[in-house]
Amino acid sequence: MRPAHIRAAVKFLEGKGFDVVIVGGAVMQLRGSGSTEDVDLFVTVSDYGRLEEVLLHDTSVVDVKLGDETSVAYLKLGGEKIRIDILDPSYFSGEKTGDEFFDYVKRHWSKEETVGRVADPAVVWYTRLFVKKEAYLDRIDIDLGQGAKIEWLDGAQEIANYLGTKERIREQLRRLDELFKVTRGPD
Amino acid sequence: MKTSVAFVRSDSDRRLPREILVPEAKASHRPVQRFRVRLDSKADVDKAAKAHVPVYLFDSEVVAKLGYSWSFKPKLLVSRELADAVESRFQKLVFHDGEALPNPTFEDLVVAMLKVNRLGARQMVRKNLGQLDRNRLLERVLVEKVLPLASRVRLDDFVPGLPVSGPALPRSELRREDAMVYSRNLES
Repeated sequence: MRPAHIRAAVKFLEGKGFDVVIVGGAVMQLRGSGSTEDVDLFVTVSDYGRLEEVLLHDTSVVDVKLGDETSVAYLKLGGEKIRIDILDPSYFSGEKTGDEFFDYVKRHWSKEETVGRVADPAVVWYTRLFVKKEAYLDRIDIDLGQGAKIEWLDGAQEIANYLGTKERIREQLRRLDELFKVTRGPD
Repeated sequence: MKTSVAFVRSDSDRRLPREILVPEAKASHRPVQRFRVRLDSKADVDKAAKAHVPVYLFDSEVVAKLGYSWSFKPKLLVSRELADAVESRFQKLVFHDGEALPNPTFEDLVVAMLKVNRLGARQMVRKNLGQLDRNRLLERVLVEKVLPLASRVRLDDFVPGLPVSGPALPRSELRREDAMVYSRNLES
């Protein structure tokens, strides 16, 4: 995905008054580790609650799938369609509220760039570890092969400490370690 | 004792272009000038390949042509025997069987992709089943010792007889991965 598309996705929601932080594969792409074909965006809990009203009545949105934790919108941009995955931070926020998590990411784990506010890769890996899907562990492993920094896992653990989700993340880290043994043979 | 590999350029063999050759310091007991090959651009790799050096630049463009859109830093595929004699700014991916280079088949590219992005390798296979030589992929996976990576993404779904080694991703998750990629294709 081109950075212009990421920017367009952010601008679209910001134009509706949303507070937005870029997460997911777009962050890894911007950091030079792989690429993505969709844009994952964190929004505040109240903004997440008004997605239906905003997305369903905008002619530049060609398709919408609303969900409890993630909603997907396809945005028409020129002759192309951009897939935006909008995430409710409450799903990942552990002992904190979704908005506390959003603010924490915004204040401590993101920075403003030309495409919009970009989360630290540690946030991306935290969400991948939190979701507990094996394929997300593979994605972390693949990112590492593309030059991602192992220290980002320390950041993910720091975020888990703040949110009180350390135990959940620790189990996934153990599985990730097991995966490294499988995928990094003698070569 | 350490094995040392280098290129030599005899009078009768002018195939290796001078611009990609890096002379090694001449040792007194070695009258023949030894070279290493330095490949820092696609053009360099093309020159080397033209001179039958077993190297290949594996990049996003190659993968996109096989129907999988994913950008990554280019990798230099190089045979194990020559790996130490080739210098490059590209990350080297070593092939045990140098015969596959410099003209890799689809199956060789799947093996390379397994080393870079196994989830992508599965999608490459899924999208190109018509041109897949299952026997060759089976052989290549075994020779290149990437069986755990192939098993992880269940390439045995497409290659009968491919042994399974190590834990595989749950089918439900692979179905989701497959569906995600296909839905993106339908949009384009």
